[in-house]
Amino acid sequence: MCGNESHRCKGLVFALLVLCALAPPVMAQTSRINGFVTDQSDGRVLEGATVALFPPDTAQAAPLYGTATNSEGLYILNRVAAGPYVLRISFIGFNPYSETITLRPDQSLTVSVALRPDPEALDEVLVETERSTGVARITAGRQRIRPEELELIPTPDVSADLASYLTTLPGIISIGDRGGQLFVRGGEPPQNLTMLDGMIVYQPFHVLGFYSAFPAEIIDRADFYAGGFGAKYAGRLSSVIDVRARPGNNRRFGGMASGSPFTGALRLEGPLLPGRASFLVSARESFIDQAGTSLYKEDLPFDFNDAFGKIHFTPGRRHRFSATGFRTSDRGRLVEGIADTEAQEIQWTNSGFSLSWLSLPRSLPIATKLTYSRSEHRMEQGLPGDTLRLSMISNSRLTLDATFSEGSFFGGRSTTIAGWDVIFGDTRNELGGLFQNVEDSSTPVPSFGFYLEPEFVFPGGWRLWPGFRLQGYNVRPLPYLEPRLRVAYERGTHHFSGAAGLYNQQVVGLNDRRDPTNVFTVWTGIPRDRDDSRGVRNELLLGRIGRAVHVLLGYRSSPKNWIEYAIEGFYKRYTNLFVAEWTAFPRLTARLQHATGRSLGFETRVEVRREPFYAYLTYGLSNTKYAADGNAVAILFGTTRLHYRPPHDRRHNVNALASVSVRGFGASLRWQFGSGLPFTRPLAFDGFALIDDIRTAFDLENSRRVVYERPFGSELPTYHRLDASIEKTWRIHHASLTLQGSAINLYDRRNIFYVDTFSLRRTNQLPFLPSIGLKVEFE
Amino acid sequence: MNMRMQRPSAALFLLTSLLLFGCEEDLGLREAVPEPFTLYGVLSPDLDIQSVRVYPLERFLTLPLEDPHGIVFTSTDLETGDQIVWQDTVLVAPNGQQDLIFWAPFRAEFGHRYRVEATRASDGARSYADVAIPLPVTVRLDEFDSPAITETNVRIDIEGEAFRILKPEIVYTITGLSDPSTFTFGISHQGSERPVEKGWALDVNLWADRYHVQAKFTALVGSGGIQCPIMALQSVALHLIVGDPPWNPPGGSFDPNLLSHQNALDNVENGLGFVGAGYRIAEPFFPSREAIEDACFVYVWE
Repeated sequence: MCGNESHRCKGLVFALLVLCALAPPVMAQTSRINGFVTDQSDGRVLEGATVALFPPDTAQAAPLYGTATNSEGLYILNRVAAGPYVLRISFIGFNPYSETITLRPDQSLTVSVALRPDPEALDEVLVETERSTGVARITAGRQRIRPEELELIPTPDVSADLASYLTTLPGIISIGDRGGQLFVRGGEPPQNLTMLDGMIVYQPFHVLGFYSAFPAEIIDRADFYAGGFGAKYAGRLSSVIDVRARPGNNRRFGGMASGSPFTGALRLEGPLLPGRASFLVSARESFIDQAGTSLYKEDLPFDFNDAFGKIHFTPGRRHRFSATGFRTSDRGRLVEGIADTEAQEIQWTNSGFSLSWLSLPRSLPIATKLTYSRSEHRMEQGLPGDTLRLSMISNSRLTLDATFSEGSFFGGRSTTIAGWDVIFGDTRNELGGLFQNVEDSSTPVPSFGFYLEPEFVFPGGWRLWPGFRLQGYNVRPLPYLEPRLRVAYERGTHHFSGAAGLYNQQVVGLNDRRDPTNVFTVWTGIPRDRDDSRGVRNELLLGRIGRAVHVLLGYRSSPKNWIEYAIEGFYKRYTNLFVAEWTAFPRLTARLQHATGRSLGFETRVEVRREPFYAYLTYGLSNTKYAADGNAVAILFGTTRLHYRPPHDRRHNVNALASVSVRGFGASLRWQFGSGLPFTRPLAFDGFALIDDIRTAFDLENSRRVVYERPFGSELPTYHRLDASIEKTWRIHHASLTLQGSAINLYDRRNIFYVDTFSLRRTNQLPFLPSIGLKVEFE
Repeated sequence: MNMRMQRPSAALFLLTSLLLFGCEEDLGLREAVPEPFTLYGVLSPDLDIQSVRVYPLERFLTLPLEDPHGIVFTSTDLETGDQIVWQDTVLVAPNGQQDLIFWAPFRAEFGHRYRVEATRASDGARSYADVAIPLPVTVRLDEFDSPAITETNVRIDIEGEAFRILKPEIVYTITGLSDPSTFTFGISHQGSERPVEKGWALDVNLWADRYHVQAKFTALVGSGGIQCPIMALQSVALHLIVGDPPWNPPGGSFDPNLLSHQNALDNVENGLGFVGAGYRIAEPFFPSREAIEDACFVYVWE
């Protein structure tokens, strides 16, 4: 019956067997206890809180059942024998909670607890937070980022942002400090999945590289997967940035206002129903366009803003409801006009909302999370007020995640997460011929997926996350099977981890990367041929879905409390990529051609925490290569495959951060170094005339031409920059005032952004820019 | 004391290092280009004057162009040894772009080979291209019954020596039923030519061509609600360029995105560009009434 798809059918059968294997514990459960653990002072969930059931009569006995809260602050203890227990919930820095309970047979008891902070142990909370995060705390490509870490990065602004932090990580390459393009371990920006509370954010970074849609003010935590991400995520080939916005304080009102020559920001939060419902709103507006001219005497034509809002509601012990909305807007000029011509602008917007309902059904031994989200992205390019090109993408996404088993497994314990999602996506493009073989039309890009990812924790330090995903796209009737595996082993101070997975991407972001200043991205389904003027149908482009394989292997150690280091190697292989075909007309139009790619390398990180000092040093070595094999390659280069370094292939990447905090002053220094990026060197100017008929040279249509060397055969100069900041905070009752001085590019390095091949005019990245910022917070 | 002395030195060293760090590095753009010229043009017996565009390969985009008097352009008939020095003309476009064209008033001879050559007077650097004008060709039509209406029913043989055919098209002149105006539509057969022993062959299916003619016709005058408008066939002709064999665009078509690449179509020695040689032919032919009516045209030649 399966015919040629037999190997896929075997995969399906295997998946069903796994499901069956997990079913008995689900069906055979007796009593259970579950609930949420939160911080009583502001309502935030507490991840990692210890939940244990003790015998009622011996207070010092070992727990009979135990678990820890997950990232939702949720705990589930299934298959608990009926009887009396002492329930204890504890978290470092908080007063423990204790209650005597009696479980009846088949009873489902929900105990949600708000722990009260212990003022004498607040430092412990900080320590605990640092232990679970940090630049060296990477497990199989995954790193958890907390807002406190973002504050350490010197930026021209008193308010921190996720973008500034991400660019300090060794696997992340930014082509410039403008344009909002981040490349992760060889993957291109459209291959990164960025999510905010379940919404897909297509262009998460602002036009000026220090800023993203995620100011530190709104972040609860961000999970960054540089590769090897688990079965929960799909639809992208390279990486995942999953940002969870924090809820507002449900006990007290608070707010913040900040200003600098770069931006101004506002935040307001507080209870809607004290202890049960809260709101958080924030907004940010850039001033750099005006400040560039008046203060810095520099042309900094960048304008952006963002707004965010979240409502969190706890209608009962078993339910959590939240609604999140955001909007970002960017406008900028990345290139200067040639001669007397006006320069083109790029502008984009993102917007979206999500509704999320987390529930502990009384009748089922599971926790469910139902999320509906809608987000859209619009990008335009053209002269001011005259759109030349437009690309839009939107989606409605419905997901249901279930944590459906919690129990023992071969002497260890297991938690199984499963879920499905349905996405109704749509793209619309008006490209003005930008990509000659991509249709200017609306393209539906629907998809559905089902995933299962158990977590097994074995005695002896092994943790295993085998998972799979069935992902359906409209390019073929059968769904794609995407196996994933994540594994970790801990012994003493030594921590080993690895990950592997298969990934597919149906919605592609096409970009003409021959020109580094061209960030215009066309979102579309798998490109299909159109009107091939050469009369040749490029079968390679038809319906082949982008695919990637990741393999990661890492080691981490923390021999002392104050130092931690990590090393991780990675290999990513990409197939069915679409790259712009090389022509001598880089700014006009492009034809897409098929390519494959691979990226491999390793990253090392050393992190030091010794009060009042904090520092880290990271180094990344990577090697990314593409091979293009369209029709034009053989014609132009005399080979069937053109192997080249893509323009984001930065081989060496160093980041150093040092921060010290003494007597209310905080100072940070950050130094970045990156080896040169590949570029195509122009050799000469001449002209071009199309010789396609019998006519005199007077009648030939012609144009000037740049003669280039082999694509991406040269290397730009190295990039390096030193940034610094110093700040002082004064606390007055329930308010605080922070004054920050900062300087970007302290030694005024002329880092190149691009060279106009016609005028040979060189445009550098940001020069030395001092800045001062002020922030007022109240609670 | 020594320590105190060292501190300013260290600071000076650090400051110097930082200033050096801040320096701008040269990108090594536009190193010397060895080839002097790029040439574009066509030599043809069809043209009263022969002409070639000449672009000096420059390291910088300069306006105005290099002095045309510093370039000597000649053509040499390699059959007779006759050499002609060509004249120069500078065309100035409204946007200020200047183009340098060399030309000479003569007709290229069928079957002759020519060398066109641009020489820089200052250092003698030269770029040249050798081209050959093909001899006249003969066209032969072979019509036959095909088993299916969609298969080839006319084969055209173009016979000659050392040539290739470019941009072949069948040109149909038709009239509509109610409109006495005549319409001419060329249907491209580029890519369907194939080499045969004596030259090239072109396979034509009149029925398929009629389909394209009809599409163009209805796009022009409207269908009038009729799905298959009546078209009376007034004439049919084969149009093509007979070219020098190197005039062979990669991929079989004249795609500027490809051909603009410096290596895509290049026959200039020690330079870039392409100089073609050839001539046009327009050869009417007369399919049988049966073939015309099978293709759903109205036959009007009686």
